[in-house]
Amino acid sequence: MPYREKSAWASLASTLVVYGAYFAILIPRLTADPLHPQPYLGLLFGCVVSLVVLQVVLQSALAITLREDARQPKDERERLIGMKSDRVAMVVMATTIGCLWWMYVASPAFIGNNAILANLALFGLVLAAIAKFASAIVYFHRGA
Amino acid sequence: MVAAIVNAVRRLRFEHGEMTQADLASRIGMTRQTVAAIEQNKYSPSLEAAFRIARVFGVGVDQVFQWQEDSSFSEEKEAKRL
Repeated sequence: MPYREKSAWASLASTLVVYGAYFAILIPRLTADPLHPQPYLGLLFGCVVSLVVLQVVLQSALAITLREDARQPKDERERLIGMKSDRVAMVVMATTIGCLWWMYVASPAFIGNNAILANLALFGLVLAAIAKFASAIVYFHRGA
Repeated sequence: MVAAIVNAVRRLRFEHGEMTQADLASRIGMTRQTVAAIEQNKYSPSLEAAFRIARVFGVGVDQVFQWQEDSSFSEEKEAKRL
């Protein structure tokens, strides 16, 4: 498996683990009655720091073990895969934001409060990141 | 009928002293994985890369890459036809 595919796997795994934990902790807090006093700011900060640390550790380990591959600049196929997976991420993010906007316009009560609105937007960003890494892996396997 | 770009990179490598994918990759400024993807017809390189590959083997681009209308194309069939 080439270095950049492993790198995409590492990014996908760390995003799934960290944001999976974030939303698993967050959802009970947002649905609690009465609402948790500080439902997500501290949690979000902790998750972002965890994601950065996890990514630095995983990507450094990959770069050390696959030193020769890591040193090589991206070639045209890898750049093409990067652009195609960015496009997939863009479509996912635009769709999620569109759905969010529609939900807000159609039924503001469904959204509930600003904390839910902000976290639904964050969910869209996370989904886009997952789509980017997953599609890059698929393109590496299936061909660009 | 499915059209596809097929290539003879694998055969040409072996005809040139069993050149490795890594060796070809370093000579055309690509990664070994991209050369493998080209050989498996999973990736069609840019025109510039196609010319670089042809130059390494000292042949024309049309001897490395062919436009094939029939998806059942194979190098063996092509060799018999020639």
